[in-house]
Amino acid sequence: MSSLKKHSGRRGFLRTAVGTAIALPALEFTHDKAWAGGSGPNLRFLTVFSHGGTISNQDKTSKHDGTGAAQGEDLWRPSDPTSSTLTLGPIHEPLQPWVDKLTLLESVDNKTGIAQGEYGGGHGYSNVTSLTAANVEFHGSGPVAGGPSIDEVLARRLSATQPVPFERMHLMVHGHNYGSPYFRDANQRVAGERNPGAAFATFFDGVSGNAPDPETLRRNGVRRSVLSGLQDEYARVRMSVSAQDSHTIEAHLDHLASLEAQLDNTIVCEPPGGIPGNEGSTTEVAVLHAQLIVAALRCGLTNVANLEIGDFITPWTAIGNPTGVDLGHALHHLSRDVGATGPRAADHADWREEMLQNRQWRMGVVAKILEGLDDPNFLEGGNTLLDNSLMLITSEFSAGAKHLAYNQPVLLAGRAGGQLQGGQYIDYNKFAASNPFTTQYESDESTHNLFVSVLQMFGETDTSFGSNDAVHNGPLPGLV
Amino acid sequence: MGWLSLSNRRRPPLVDGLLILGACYTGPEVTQAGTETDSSAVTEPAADTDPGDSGESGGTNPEPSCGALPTVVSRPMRRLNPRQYQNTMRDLLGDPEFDAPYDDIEAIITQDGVREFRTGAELALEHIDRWSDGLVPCDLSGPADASCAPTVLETFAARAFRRPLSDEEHAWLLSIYSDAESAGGFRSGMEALLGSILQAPAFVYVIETGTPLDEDPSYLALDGHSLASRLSYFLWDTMPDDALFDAASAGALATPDGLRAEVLRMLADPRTKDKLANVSQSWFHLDGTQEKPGLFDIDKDADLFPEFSFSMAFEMQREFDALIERTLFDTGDFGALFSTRDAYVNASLAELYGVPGPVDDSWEWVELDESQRAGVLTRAAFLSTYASSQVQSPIRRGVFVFENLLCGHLGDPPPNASDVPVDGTTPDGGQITVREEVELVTGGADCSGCHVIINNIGFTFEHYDALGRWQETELASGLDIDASGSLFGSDVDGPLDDALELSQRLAQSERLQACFVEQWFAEALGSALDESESCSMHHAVERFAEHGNVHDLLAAIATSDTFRFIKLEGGE
Repeated sequence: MSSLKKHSGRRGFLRTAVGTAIALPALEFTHDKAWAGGSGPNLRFLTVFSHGGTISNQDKTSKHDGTGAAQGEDLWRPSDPTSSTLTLGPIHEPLQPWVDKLTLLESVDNKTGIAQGEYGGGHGYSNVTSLTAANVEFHGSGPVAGGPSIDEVLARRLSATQPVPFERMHLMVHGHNYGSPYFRDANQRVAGERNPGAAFATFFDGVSGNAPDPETLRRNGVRRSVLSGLQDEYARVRMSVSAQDSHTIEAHLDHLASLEAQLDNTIVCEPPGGIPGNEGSTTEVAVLHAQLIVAALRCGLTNVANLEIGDFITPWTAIGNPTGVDLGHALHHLSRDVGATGPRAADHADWREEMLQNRQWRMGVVAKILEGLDDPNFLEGGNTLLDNSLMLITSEFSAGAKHLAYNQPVLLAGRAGGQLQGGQYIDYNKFAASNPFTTQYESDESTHNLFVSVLQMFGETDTSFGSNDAVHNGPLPGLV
Repeated sequence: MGWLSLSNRRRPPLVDGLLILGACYTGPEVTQAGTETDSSAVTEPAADTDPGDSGESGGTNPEPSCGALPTVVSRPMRRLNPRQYQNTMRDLLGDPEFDAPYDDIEAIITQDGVREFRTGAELALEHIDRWSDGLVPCDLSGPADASCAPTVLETFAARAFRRPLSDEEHAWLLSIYSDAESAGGFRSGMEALLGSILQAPAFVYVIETGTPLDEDPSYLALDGHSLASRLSYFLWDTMPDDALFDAASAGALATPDGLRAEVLRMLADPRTKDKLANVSQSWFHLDGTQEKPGLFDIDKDADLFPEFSFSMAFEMQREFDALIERTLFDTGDFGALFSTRDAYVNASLAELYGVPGPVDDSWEWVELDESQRAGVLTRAAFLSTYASSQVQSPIRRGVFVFENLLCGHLGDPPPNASDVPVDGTTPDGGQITVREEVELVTGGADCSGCHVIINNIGFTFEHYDALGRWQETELASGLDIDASGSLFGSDVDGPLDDALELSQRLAQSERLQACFVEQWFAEALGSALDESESCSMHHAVERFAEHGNVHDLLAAIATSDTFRFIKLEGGE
């Protein structure tokens, strides 16, 4: 039997850390003071990824006008596309109170999805490229992204200048979908937490309105010992495995380091109440997720929050489910058949209303987040959290029935600390300059450029992002 | 563009290679020592005639059966999947109530996964009172006990790591205990020690080691403990039990007799039954996929199917599991899975099948109508999962049979493929059969290339409604049923009268058997077989074909080169 022995190095440091854990300063949540104390406002980035596309008449290089088999309306567009001042279209009606803080961009293509996918997009290809703009890779079944999504890139960079316990928060209102579009790195897909109770347990673990109690401090001391020790051992194992497995161990090590950082950034903040442990219905989950995102950002638990919304039907809306389809994606497919000469033309009105209320319900979830962030009673240097945030609301398709990566829906909310004016509408369709209602379509702008714009709004100097499929480098013109 | 043509982005299955290329394993093998061998027999054991039998016992490497070097490629290190983690924790702790929220199935672990391992360890420590007696021979809340940590290393840690600890691991764990104990006291030290064991790389990953072969040191014969873990996760989805540990420690798995003895013992264990049921549920996608609803996601039209409830889905799965147990586990008879009329039913399932059955809450075995039912494809679990809320779905049923049972490849549907359920309603409000509407909407040039295959399989199920009940006339339309079809692209092609004939034909299909073999190899290895590993595949297929016995198949896989050897990445 071996005798107990100590060794120096990381363990030695740890022993001190455990012993002094009680003296570690907690990052007290003092939002206004924290803002005032820095060189500028803390910035947050949010994404809402709405699976399955929107109500769009988009085709590849044209748009349906409704005289054929396919429906011809674009309800994502502003109600007045002739004006650069944003006038919200039908889908975005729930967001009307924040119209001055919204920016709608049209004709931003997912050029990687178009170039590398099947049919100018396709389910798998569009999904894995819509937030990454990265080359598509294969490592078994189905395509994956060859690089990180924009949220991940920003999360890492922001955490360096705005330390937080969690680099990112990722929640999911579960429903039919073709895979998470979020990637930590090449071939490292990230799934959202579906259960609000589990999310609460993770993000608000140990968070209270008071300083941690002695038992929490003791537990955190044990956690530090374990995390530090595990990093030693995983690092040792990494040296003895193959290059491929070393990559796996490195990811594990990164996550251990993140957990350790979470312990280092203790938060004192009143957690949200009333979060049940069970998953609950879709409508309940959506509201709770919105509540959790707002609370996490208010408490300074993270700089980046993502919300995925699956492509489900919404029989709880006023219109119900008159089309009788049982899948959100099937609802999309009906759009091909409810045009004037389509085989389901008689169902056009029902389809339009069911689809519209479905998408308005999703925007209702977005509205709950905006409402929480734009609370005038919760200011940072005179600005609301929404003023200091940028939210990207998007999807993998415009028209879901076509599986196209052309004209990816892009709605921005917030002002990114004053970088974004808000209340704007920009259409990058080359043919739209002379005729905003044209059915011809061509764009040189891509999500590559969108993500460069996003990075630059956060003070970064990147001029390119993702694969080489963009028409040009740099940001979207005229946005900032 | 035809749908079939899109499949070139995916690796073609070995099933195709098997049918096209012919087998590399063509008969009895000759070992390097010149001894003619047979393959290991499970149904009729032959004590000393296994592949790899060099006529020697322990102390020498097992020899490859397909040539001088084993047919095996480099594979990534595996991590315990959620089921394996759950089972391993329960068996390690001796706590059947342990229930951790670990659900990370990504190839590379996520931050949530790492956090969930921590949560699992902390949850286990919260309930340390439920652990097996003697596992931790001290009271963590009691006075300091200096002998406890070293004892935990010798017993608990070795079981958790599924092998004896290395000196480095020993020192590492003791230092964690020592430092945490110094800083926070005995309880903190022990919690840090136990928590580290339960999150260590040797616990959450399956890191395999072995002995390099003289012929090429980039090939390793797995050592006993690595082989024991492979076996236990392959057949049981959990860690090795004491007997398997003992066999590994004694070197018994290095000999063909020892290996075969353990495989036979494990095949008879109820944990193999659970594994067969779980893999079969996944095979039939009863647990659903991201894109397709599973058995527990289905919803049925309340007007058409008033008897349906959520609990009925559980009853359907129970019947499915019982069928798997009766065929694949009890007798191993693969063909019976597609032919038997035995059904385990309660009152509601008996009514669904139209046979006398229990009148109370009990379950019993009954025999179904031979003119209506034959095997698993004619049972409620499959039929109701592959249907819409109102009507049967010949397309979904056809795609399943072609892709999942015959390993056919259709590729992704083109963008103009609609998933709007077909219900037999025409645009002008008229009524046609589901079959007629399917033919109508898939008859175009873009669709027919694939749908001639899909539909003609799926149509054979037209007598089964969306719940799996037999229908003489179509429930929704009241029109006559036409259940004729045909098989294309298989080894048992030809016209079919109905699903009974389809099932009978499938039961004779070598392609179905090969497809099944391929899936079990993937289960055993954690990833699909490579084409260069076809020798092991062919060997297993031949063994399986001899008696159509699943036990033979699992034993053949467990004794194959691909299972017993590993290849280092890049020949390092």
